[in-house]
Amino acid sequence: MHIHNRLGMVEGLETMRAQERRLDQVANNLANVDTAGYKRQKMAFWEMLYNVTDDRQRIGKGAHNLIDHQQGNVQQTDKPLDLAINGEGFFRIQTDRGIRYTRAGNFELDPVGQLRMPSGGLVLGQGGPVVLDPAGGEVSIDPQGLIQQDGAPIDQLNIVTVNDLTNLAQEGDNLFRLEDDGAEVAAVDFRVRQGYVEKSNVNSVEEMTAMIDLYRNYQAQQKMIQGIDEMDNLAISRVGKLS
Amino acid sequence: MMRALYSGTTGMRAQQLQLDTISNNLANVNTAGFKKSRTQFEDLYYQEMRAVGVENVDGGQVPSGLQVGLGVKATANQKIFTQGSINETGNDLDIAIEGKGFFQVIKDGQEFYTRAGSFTRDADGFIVTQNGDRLQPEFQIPEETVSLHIGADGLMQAKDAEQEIIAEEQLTIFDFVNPGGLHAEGGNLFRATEASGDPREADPGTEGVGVLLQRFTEVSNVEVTEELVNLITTQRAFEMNSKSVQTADQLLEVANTLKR
Repeated sequence: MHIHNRLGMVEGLETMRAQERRLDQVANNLANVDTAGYKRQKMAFWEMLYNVTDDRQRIGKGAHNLIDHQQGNVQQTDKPLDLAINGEGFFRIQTDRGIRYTRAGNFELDPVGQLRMPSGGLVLGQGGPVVLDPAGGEVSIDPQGLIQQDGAPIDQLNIVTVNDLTNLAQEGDNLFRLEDDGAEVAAVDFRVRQGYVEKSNVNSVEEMTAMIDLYRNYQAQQKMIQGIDEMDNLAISRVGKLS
Repeated sequence: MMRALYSGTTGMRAQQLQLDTISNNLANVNTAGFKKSRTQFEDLYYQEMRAVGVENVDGGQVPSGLQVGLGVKATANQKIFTQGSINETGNDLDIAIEGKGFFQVIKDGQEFYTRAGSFTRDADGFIVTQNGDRLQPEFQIPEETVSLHIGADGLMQAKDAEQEIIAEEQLTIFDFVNPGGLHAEGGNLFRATEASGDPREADPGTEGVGVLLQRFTEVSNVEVTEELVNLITTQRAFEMNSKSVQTADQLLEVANTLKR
């Protein structure tokens, strides 16, 4: 294994770039502090062995993001079509791109009475999209997701979760996408609350702290690179001099 | 350049829009029949940032799926059609709807809908809004009328001095599948859109629409304390997003001073 100070520089650079990604994430979390059902992103770093050309190896930085699926605060809105899930699970949503999942329960009716998200995805019940009678009376939804209109049962919300939450990726429009090796499982431990919406789970104090932390980390790496530069400078100008 | 700069900007813009909505709600705290709005947000696209082709020593791929979000967008400004409180005015032509539904008025030949039921009479005796738009179906109050009675079911009766009914008309109200999709025109008027669905006409008190209350008006459903709390959170969220932009700028400054 070759060791030389170039490696320190590369490491410093990698760490700086990772901190930039982290800031992108913090900025995205803060931008979505008021987005219904938004889940904050975190980043995990670990060390890993990279193969470099001509069989040299070095230790580098691996990074990937984690979605923090902790429940956000639930806010009362008193709108009959605002639904929050207390506990596990997601609303199943039918979009043009396939089935998606969301915790953002700020639903509305479209002109034909289908329950949908503001961005257009249709909320699925047991047998396809939930359709309410636009001319009908009051809609009530019980904790198990059973939808009743004028006291008559209409449909039951299809609330599911996935075998491993890390298989969910954020897609924008308040939706999650199931990655290839994920599988749906029925949600058990949940209660649907009508007239409430789950807010974003971004905690502003945590994000501000992360911002301070990553900034100082970035500065420290800069100093390290400058230190290596200083060593190089000395090597160039001093090595071989007698006095 | 760093995405954080732009994500922070989208956040600031979203909060600015929210502030506009709150200010408009607060400005209309005393507007009869006004319905408050709420801004709805969604996250923007996520950029996939995979470390392409990098292999670790065991020959496996670097775990992929480094996604970076690009901020937030405002998707809708939903009107919240909860009932405003109802005040007694004693004026014969003040009508409040208790429950769902809208009055229809004609302005410049077009149909509009309103819940602001403080009507008046124009020179020809027709019932009109404060801006002079006629209530539908039109009702001309005869000159010799001494009392006007509007029932909870919408029956309008004009009576003369002998308590004889001299003119009669059934007032209907209109409801929508998705009132949140109505387009606010200003002047307390709403216009039907594709999202709201077509208006459904009904006699008051039937088919799920509300009943009428003569000599009452419905005041705005804006709650000042709620709006003020929203104002505070909006301002703070704006500040936090500005910090993202500031920090991105500081990182760039540090990067710039790498080379001395």
